[in-house]
Amino acid sequence: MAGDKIDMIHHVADGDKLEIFHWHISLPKLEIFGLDMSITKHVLFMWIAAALMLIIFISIARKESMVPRGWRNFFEAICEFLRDFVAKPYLHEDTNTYLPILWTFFFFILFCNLLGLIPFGATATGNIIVTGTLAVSALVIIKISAFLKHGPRGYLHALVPQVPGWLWPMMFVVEVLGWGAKTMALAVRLFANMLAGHIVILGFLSLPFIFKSYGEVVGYGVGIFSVAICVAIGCLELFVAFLQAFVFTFLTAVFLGMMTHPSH
Amino acid sequence: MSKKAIALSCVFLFFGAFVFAGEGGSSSALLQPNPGLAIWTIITFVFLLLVLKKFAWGPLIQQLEKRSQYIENKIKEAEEKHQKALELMEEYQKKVELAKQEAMQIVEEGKQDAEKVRQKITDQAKKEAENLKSQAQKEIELATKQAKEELWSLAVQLSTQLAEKILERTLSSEEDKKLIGKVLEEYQKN
Repeated sequence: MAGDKIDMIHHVADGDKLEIFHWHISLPKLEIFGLDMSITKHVLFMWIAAALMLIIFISIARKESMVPRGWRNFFEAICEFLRDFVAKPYLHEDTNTYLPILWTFFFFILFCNLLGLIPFGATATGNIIVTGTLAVSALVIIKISAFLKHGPRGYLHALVPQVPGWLWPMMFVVEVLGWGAKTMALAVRLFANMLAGHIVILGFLSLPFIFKSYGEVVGYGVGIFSVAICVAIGCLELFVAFLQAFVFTFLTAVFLGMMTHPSH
Repeated sequence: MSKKAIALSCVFLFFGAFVFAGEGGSSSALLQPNPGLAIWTIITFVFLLLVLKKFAWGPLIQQLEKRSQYIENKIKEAEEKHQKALELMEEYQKKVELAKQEAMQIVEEGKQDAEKVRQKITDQAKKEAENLKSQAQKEIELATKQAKEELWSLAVQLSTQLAEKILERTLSSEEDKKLIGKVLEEYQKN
């Protein structure tokens, strides 16, 4: 914020530097097969989220006990909630098969969201490339699971139930559009939600710097108001972090259920 | 989710990412396509999924199943035990009831026996008393009779002697005796 212009997009966009106060830590640039594979800020924060997940969940799974306590109890309760209220109603007997995917989606998105709330952190899920890739991964996983489960004939049958042959091209278009829309919905919802909160906070935090030009007192006065609002929005963002991870997982479970259990 | 499905998904996703890489750039920093980031996302996610599946989610699912099974068993066991306890209690209650009845019966029987014994003793005593009484009466009667007879014979003797003295002769003939007897008989009747 040292310059006279506040660049909000710069703060939420991906970058090749970690910025902590005035220290800038450059991240390594990589190029593989002519592709830019640089470790950007968002890649780094995805890795931090992944590392946290590996540490937490592997250590939790090791502590086998009939009476869970502490952190294990906390994460287990979330896992069980996802299993019983998100996966089971849509996946029925296949719940345990797809549970690892749903749990990974939920916690990965949640951890990325929460890392973005930490000062100097970056929200990987506030990047349309990341959310888009996750949504496409979900879609591909759903399609391939259904294909492997029902086989080519069963898959087509599940896709278009009782429809005369001449309608098939149209059904194909509708189906493709439908899945495109579902993927877009997953990707854009998560991206926009995570981005919006940060931009609103940034906007409110910019106010005192703008009002500073009317005098120091006005700047500080507006600052108190801005910080109060930011705290409130921060709380909302904390909630949204959980909510969006849940929504993504929930919709993935619903789509999975639609594809693997077409009769339901 | 089988390994096959994950592997197939990876192939599709990487193919997609490389196709996507050829697309032109957008002006906005937020919407700029970045195939490197997409590939890193896929790698990170798939790696995370595979490792967690093997070392965390798999064991966790098993543990959850095991625990729910354990709890279910325990609840069933507790219910069975409760049922058994109820049955046992009922049985013991029945036994207690039975014992009470038996005790009551014993007491009743004892009472009846005592009553019988009492009755018997009383009866015996009464009978004995009756016997004694009748015996005494008989004895008294006998004694009275004897006394009467004795008295009578004495009276006969005396009256005979008296009459002899008055008549100054012996009353020994059959006729006399008959006369005396007739008088006495008349006398006795009165």
